Amino acid sequence: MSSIFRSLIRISSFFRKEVVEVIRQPRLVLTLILGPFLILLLFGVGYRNEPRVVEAVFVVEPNSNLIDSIEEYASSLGEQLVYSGTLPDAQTAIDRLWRGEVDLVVIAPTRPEDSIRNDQPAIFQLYHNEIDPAQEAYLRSLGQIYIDEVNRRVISQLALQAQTDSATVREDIASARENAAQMRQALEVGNVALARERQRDLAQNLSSANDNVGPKAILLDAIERETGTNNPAESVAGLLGALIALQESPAVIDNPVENQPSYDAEIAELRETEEELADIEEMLAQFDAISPDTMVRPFRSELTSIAPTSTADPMNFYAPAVIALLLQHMAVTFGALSLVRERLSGTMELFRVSPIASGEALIGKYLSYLLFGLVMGAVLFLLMYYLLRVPLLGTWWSFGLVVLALLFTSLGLGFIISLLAETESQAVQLSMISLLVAVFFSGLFLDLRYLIQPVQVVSWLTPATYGTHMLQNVMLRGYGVEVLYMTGLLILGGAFFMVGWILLQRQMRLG
Amino acid sequence: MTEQSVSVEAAGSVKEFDATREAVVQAHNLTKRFDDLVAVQDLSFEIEPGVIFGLIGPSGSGKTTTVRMLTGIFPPTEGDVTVLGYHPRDFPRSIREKIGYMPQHFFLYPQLTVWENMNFMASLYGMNLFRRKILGELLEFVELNGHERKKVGDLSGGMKRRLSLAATLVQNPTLIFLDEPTAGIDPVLRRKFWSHFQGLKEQGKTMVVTTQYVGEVAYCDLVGVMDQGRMIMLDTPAGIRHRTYGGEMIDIVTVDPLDYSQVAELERQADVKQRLLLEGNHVRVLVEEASESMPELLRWLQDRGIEVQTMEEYLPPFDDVFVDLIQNVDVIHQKENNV
Repeated sequence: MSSIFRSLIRISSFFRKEVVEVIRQPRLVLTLILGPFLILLLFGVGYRNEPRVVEAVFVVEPNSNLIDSIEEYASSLGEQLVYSGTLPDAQTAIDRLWRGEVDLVVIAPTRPEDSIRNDQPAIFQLYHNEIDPAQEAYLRSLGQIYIDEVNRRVISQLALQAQTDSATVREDIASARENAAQMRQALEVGNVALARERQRDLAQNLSSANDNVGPKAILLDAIERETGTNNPAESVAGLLGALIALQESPAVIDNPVENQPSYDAEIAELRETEEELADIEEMLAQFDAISPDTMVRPFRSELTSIAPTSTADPMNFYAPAVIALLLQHMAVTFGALSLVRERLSGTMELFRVSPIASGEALIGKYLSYLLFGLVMGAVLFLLMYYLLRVPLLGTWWSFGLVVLALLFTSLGLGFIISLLAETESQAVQLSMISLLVAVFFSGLFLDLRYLIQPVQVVSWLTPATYGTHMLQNVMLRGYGVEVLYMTGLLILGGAFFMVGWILLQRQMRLG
Repeated sequence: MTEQSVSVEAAGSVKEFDATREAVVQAHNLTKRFDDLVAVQDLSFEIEPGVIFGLIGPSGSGKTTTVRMLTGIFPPTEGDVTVLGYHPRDFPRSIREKIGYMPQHFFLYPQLTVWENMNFMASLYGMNLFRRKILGELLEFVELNGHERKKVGDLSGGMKRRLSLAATLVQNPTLIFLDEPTAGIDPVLRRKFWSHFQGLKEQGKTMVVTTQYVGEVAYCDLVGVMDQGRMIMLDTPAGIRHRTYGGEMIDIVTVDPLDYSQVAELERQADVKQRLLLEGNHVRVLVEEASESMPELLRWLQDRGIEVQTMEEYLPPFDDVFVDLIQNVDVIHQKENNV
């Protein structure tokens, strides 16, 4: 019998033994497959993909002007902020926060107008009792949104007032246009007295319009400057200029002389004035159509994803990462316990005397656990695919290749743990540490971009990092196998295999 | 320790290893230290093919360490050993296939059935796939036929030991190391085991068997007695008994008790080395060779009209031999050296 055939028989001894041993433990198999699935199911059912609701109490002095508006603002901020009433003193509110009755205490500025007059922003003081940095960041962001909303509403009031005022402006402009027309008609029939009378009215109208158009025109002008409106004639600046020019233009109204041979020049000028006033009126009508809300918040962003999978269901995002994490953990644990058990049960002693080579034993174990891991990965995925509706946009074989490479590398890590651990409990502890490393550094919950470069080395020494990245792209983006990441994973797996082989060789032959 | 070398030929055995009867195991000044602990010191011995070599000694005396050095599990700290012509650390595959090793502790897989464990062991040794008959015969040999489908975890302790023995023999080894194969099993099963070992010996196998049961020495061809890492005696079972007491013992029971002068005269007889016991009409004397001295002593008693009820060689149990040997080892060696 050839040595290759004998070698294959020896490899098969471990392969069959490991497979049978696992199959003989149906509870273990069930736990390994159903456990992760149920965890993900529970997560999918229980996870709320919406911002946390924060209950806030406000501290406002009883005679403060802010008391009504604060309640109104808070109540209209949406479901994220639940208005829990106002209190007159801060200490009572802080006590409630300490007791956990509210999530946030907002202390309104005592005399905001004084601060603003002194060119200082009036400060809303926010207190919380969070110890989770993410929750603190959330509250900080929520507080900022609240303050932005307050600011917006203040400016919006200004805009509303300006809009109300601009109705008067429009009336002034309409009257001015009417008076200009009547003045022109009076000059056409030579009625200078009437023309002068209308001239006075026109001057009054223009003055009034100029006074009233101010705040709103300033707002619009600022918007147009930011947006870069190109046509000066259509700009608010143009409108203001025209209005001022009209008001200051004395040519028509200062020198209408009786018995003048011709008023053609004045009449022509008045026609132009009428047209300009008509333009101004039209522009004002357009501006008045803009709501105060749009005026104070003229920009809004709209986000569109080109990714083919919706982020609406967070389970989609987490499912590939969970598969990667669990397959890594399963493979590491199986590997970690496998050789340490052989050593503790005394079987390793037998291997040292027998003709089995370390490579044969290792390959046999690799093959059996790879097979088992693939089956487990497939069942786990099918459950997620059919019961949880997690998508697979890429191909099956891409998914399978990634899982295979992930299992190969994870098993290598497990075997190294097994060969370094002196007891089973040590092997389990080291496996748990590798799981913790994967939870924190594989990108499951924390994007790797939040980690500094040296720490990212730990991530890229963790098989689940590659698995998570590639499975997410295969399942959720429909990518194929990414050569760079696959190469990285296989290099890592190859290195683990070599280290495991050398360690096992030392243990089997050197005692 | 003085180097000892004793050779014992196995009667009627079929020699598979070496027709020229070269020693299967040759150990010279083997020493093993674990940091400051000296586990085995200065062991020298040879084992010829087809014999049962027993290593006997109390727990911690260095038996298992010795076996581990012989099998290549531990490298010796000092000294030299060859097994089947090779240093154990350099065993080629062909030699490993000729060696069977049964570790002290149960080493098979409890989740697998009896048959699956046997299959695993057969594959481990690269046996071809047509092995059903061989495995069946081995299970029959250890009387486990009919239990093939039982999970090993459900077997009794005795059945597990028998299975271990069968698993050790799957590749039909020439040299078999059995580390305390009878530890923790009942006397009936122990006797069965030794019966199996005798069967294997008859097939020409060489066996190295360690045991704590001193009485099992009787089953061995050659025995190394170990204490505190040293081999304090290496001989055949009879030789060990002989050397421990400096001869053989004869129990004489007379009808009437011997008087003082008769006892004194008996002690002066040429064959009698020492009187060991005098209790009423029961006298025990030490002689060089019991078979040669008994006719002489009988004649002497009859010449003096002393009526003899019984006269027979007394074989002290090996338990007693072992205790006496351990207690008097230095004296024994001193006497031997003087001779």
